[in-house]
Amino acid sequence: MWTAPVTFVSNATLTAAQLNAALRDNMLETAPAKALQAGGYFTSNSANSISERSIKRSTTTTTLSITSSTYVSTATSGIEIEVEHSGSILAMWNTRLHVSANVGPTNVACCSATVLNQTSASDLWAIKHPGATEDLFRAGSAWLFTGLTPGTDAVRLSYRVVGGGPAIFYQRELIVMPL
Amino acid sequence: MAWTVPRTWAAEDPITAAQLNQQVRDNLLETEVAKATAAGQLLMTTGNNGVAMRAPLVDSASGTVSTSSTTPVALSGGPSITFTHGGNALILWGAEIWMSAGTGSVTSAMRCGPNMIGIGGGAISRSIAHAATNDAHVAYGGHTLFTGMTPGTNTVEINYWRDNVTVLTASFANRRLIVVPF
Repeated sequence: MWTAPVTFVSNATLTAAQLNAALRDNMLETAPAKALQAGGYFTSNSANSISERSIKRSTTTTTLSITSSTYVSTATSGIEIEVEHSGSILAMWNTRLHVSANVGPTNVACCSATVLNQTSASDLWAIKHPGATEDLFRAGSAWLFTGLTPGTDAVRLSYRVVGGGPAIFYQRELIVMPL
Repeated sequence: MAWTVPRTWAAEDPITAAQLNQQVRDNLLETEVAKATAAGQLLMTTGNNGVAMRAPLVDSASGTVSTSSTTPVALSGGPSITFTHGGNALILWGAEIWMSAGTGSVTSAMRCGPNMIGIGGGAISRSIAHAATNDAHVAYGGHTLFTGMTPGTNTVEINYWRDNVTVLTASFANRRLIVVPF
């Protein structure tokens, strides 16, 4: 645990305890001491506390057909990434999407992201597209989830259709950067 | 204080309090763990031997705004973020876009993009766009990296406009903006 470094005073006795606390223990709290793997980065857990994190990616080429008007997904259909975080997660995702019947401006495929058990998927950060398959439309979106309870959580893509669909999603990608 | 290159200690040299304060205390206070003030901050560099902890920020507005402007304008609710940086900033934004009135065209787009206030040059060249012949709602995001800014504090806001090809009203909802300052 980090402690405020001591101010040394001339002619005072320098103790082993001072060096262990001010030098050894504090250096063990710095980034090089905590780095375990390549490709990681450091974020703060709180004042004077940091952890190594890793950015993660998941993709699937599986085609998904959705008719639900509310956001739905499962771990296998949604693509999901589990990460440890200190209360914030940056999620970025993209997908090809279209509707396969009744194509029109009121039949809209939607793809959002959720942190399971912490937030619901929302149109506020969703991808939406009402086009037909011939549009060959791919789009992405991002959202910074904040105010989460720190710990380990799963980020998952969720889907819905406004207007009956069916909505089709394929070639999906999710990237998660825990903070 | 600033980071000092660690000295090379020599046998038999007396160690002074001033040396320990500079080499141990002051250098430790320049590390990332000393500079972390809250959860969710990322380690960034500020220059030679300098680091800072900066947190990504988010702002959003779910409400609908509309414009027929043919030049980028700010609209109610922004979103807008003021942030401190070392010269670079990654901007991610998005919105739901549709034509709420007028005559659509596949060559006349509705647009939104980030305007770095006081710097400019962002919104038009980095916009996301949607052209339609009906009121189809499309939502997606864009991303861009602002580089070479003078380190300090800046504000980025989303601007909105339409191409000057056909007369239409562009509407926007579910507007979001994320800034990762470097």
